[in-house]
Amino acid sequence: MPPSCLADAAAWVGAQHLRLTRFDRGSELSHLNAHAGGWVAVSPILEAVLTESLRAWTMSRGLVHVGVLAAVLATGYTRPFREGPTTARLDAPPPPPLPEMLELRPGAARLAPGGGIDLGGIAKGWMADRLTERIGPNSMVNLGGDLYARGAGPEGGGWPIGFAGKTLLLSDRGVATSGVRGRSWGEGLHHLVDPRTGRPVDSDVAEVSVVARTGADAEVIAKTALLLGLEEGETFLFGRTDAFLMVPA
Amino acid sequence: MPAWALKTSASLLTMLAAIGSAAYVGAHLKNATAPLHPAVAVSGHQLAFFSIGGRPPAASGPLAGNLHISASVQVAGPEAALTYTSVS
Repeated sequence: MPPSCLADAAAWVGAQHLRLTRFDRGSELSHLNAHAGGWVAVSPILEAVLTESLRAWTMSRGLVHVGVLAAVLATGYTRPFREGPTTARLDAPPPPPLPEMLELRPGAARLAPGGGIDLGGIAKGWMADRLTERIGPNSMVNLGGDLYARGAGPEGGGWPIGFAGKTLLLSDRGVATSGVRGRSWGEGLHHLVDPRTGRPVDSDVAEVSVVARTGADAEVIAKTALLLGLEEGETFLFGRTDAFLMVPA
Repeated sequence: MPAWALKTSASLLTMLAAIGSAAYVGAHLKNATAPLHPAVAVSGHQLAFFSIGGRPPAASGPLAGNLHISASVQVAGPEAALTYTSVS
């Protein structure tokens, strides 16, 4: 990979992080959250991610819900994870259905009063998909464990991706893992919120890894299966994935 | 016909054939649609790999859990992985 291409990719990722993070008051997402109740002009990138968020909500039957910011803040996850949690209150009500909270029209978005968006569970897979489009037809992008492999890979048989202790050779496929162990800070306190309760997910599944059509799909499917639990989650995974691993809690 | 005329005609014919052949070959040398044109690698289709994170799992070998891999997915040896999926 030429250094200029690598630098361009890193710059693009950095720019989207600054645009989509909820931890920076100057980000475009924070601007949208701060102006809930009114229409706000949004960039094509934020508009695309919000559109993807609505698709994810539908695809997951309402379980992948970016409108859980208030509930995430109530768990104490109020600042970047490396800075540690603040006091958990767990007093946020379940959010309304996302289509009732988020409206989109070309170039603009509107959040319902009191609504707030956290794109943490959506953006990485979507960005991996988009970045491979920018880099080239035989490229692979891994953003913190969520990835997309485009094209035939180094040897022509697919990109070798570590998955559940094996190596899968993947072409034009996304991979993602969702779990509650990575960012947890106390009994029952972690970063994944169940929109049905407004509380951290209480599942009999600790971790789900998925191979799917795109990185964005893999992310949504993995999280949905985790929220559904072992039995219903496994049924959900069949037919939607090329491979999956469910690790019981 | 005198011998010199025959020799001159033959020489002229040879030269015209050579010049004509050279002109034809020169005109068709870079014709991409010419038959039997060799395959050429398309420039710009280079391999590229960008990764932030994607660390290998702490435990080696298969992870405990319900694992399903469809028949359409090819599996290689674990040592061959270029990057890994992981919880984030």
